[in-house]
Amino acid sequence: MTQIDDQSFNELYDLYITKIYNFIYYRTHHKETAEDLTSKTFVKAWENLSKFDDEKGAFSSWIYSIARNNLIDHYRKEKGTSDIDQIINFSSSENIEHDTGLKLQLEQVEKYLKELPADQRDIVIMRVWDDLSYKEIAAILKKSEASCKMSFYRTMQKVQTHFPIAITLLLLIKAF
Amino acid sequence: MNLQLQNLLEELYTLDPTLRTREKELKQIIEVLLKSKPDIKLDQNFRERLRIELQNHQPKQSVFNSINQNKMKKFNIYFGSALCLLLIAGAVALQANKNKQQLQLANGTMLGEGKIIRLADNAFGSLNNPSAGTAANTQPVAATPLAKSTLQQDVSNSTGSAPSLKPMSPMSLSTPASVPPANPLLRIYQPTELHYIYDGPAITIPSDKLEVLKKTALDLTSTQLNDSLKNLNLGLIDFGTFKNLNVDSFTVSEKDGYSITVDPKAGTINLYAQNQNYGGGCAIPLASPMASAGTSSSSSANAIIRPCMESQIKISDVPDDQTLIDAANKFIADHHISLKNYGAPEVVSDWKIQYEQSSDKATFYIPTAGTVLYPAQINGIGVYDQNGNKVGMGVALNFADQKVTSISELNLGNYQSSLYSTETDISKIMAIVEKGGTDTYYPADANAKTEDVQLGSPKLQLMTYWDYQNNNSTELFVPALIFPITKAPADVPIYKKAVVVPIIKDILSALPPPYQIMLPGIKK
Repeated sequence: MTQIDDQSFNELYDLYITKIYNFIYYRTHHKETAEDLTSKTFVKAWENLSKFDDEKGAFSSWIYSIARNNLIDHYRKEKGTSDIDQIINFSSSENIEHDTGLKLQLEQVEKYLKELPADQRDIVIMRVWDDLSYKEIAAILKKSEASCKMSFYRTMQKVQTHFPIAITLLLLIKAF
Repeated sequence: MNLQLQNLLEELYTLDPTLRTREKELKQIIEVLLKSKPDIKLDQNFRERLRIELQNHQPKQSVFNSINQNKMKKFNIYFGSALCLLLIAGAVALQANKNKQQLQLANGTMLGEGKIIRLADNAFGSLNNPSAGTAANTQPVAATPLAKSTLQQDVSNSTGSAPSLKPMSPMSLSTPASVPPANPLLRIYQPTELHYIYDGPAITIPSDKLEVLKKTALDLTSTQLNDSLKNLNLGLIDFGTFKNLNVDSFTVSEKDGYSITVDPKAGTINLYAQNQNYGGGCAIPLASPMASAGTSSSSSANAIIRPCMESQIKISDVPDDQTLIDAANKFIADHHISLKNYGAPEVVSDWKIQYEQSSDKATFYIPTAGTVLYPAQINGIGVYDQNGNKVGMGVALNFADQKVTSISELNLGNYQSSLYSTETDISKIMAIVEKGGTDTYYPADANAKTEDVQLGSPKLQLMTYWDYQNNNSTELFVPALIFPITKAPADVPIYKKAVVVPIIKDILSALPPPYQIMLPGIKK
């Protein structure tokens, strides 16, 4: 490994290690599994650097795609499913345990979101939790940027127009 | 308003401006989504372990040769490389001038001396309040080279009343046969609720205050190394024109040999062999001569990638533990690496347990390299991670030729210490023990089967703990009870070797309740 390789590697590693770990953790909720899949993601990325072509997409999208594929492989082995969205759980955050009001709010929103198509839900998670741009999401899901934006918009629109109970509860809880 | 929330709303308004009239509702929905985001802390030990593993991995191509778009980063790299060359030249010149004198720091101490600077009580700030660290008193009150710490003293004194808390002698890393090693991908998920049982002698905490330690960063400000570099004029740039220039970290490399990185802030030195293939990887078939320290980078880079199975080695090819330890010891002796702050070496061989349990040994993947661990000791006390694994300096070696491929976490060995209040209510500690420690989880399935895990007598040791204050994380070493797992169900994966419970009151009071995997708390 040359010095340049080493330094560039460290920059990339520091830039993405937490992001990729979080991305995987959000979809597994299990520390050891998240660490294992994060290791696999970086090893695979490192092994295949020569195949990466920045003219075809950003490095971030590329490494997130590897992470997503590892997750799909994991679910296929562990659960017999490749739908990673079946695993996503909105309410396992530790801070929710402390906040009864938030639990109630979340229950309403989660109930609706779970009825959404998996791809719509995935885009919401990527945009809100992973803080990925629509461009990155589009590259990872191999969709157009516009369709990802539209999907997020429609999801939010549906939640706030077709789920009045949730909104009412939110307002009530907020009032107290 | 939160910037991310604002951005999300603006994106929606761009698509449909009429949504502005319903901003209140939208804002609340997005706020709920943002609040539900799991609060995750990446394990810093894992982060650094993986970094070292990847650095040992055979690189295929500099990614920065591929990423054309980031010109600035390229500049930084070239500049960094030039600086690195200067540092190498500077270090060589310094070494020649000083006739291999050991580097002396500004305060007169030497690296690896094991000095502990005692600070006032609670000097690292409140350990349960992320914003409390700035008010801490960090003025030293005494400097005692290898002074007998409060922790060690109290543990020794407690021998009579609490025999289980005697100082721990170095133990084998081998896991009890019934405890499978961590590898979640090789298991079939089966919901199980684990009950951790300790029914040994009563536990006592030796003191109402014990020492918490923090690694001291290496300050090179007043060293000759720093002096020789900060006034250097390269022609391209004059370092002397910058104020208070200091050496932050540096790497020195042998030509086609080893590369050594000194990280003063982290207080560590890491070494790795350039052009080595990844220890557990498949890049270079074992039948060909192994990439060694002398192999040229071009030949390594052009190595043909073959499937893992082609580079599979046999169990009979794996050297015995003593051979690996001897090879590691020889390397350490050859390079005058100090073992002052480490215990007796042990081979990390968790994979062998998995191998023994495997029903298909023919296809079981056997790693091509192993690690000899020199367990860290601070004032003679062992250091563990939260899963009960010993922490220390790892020396990685190829099985084929027993060549050292890396050394990770050679600590500089100097610390600050401060007394903190301990949790003396044993019932609170035992409540955490029964749950399996501070990072456990419970399966979601209400019909999950229940299994007992038996724990042995605890020993008072140190646990690594990452404290987050003011957006900075600091590694601390805190007193903790280590309950070894002595009996576990054979068919249930357990990721830890021991239940580890820190006994500093601040830390315990800050613990979140155990989270639940796949079980929404809201459905209770």
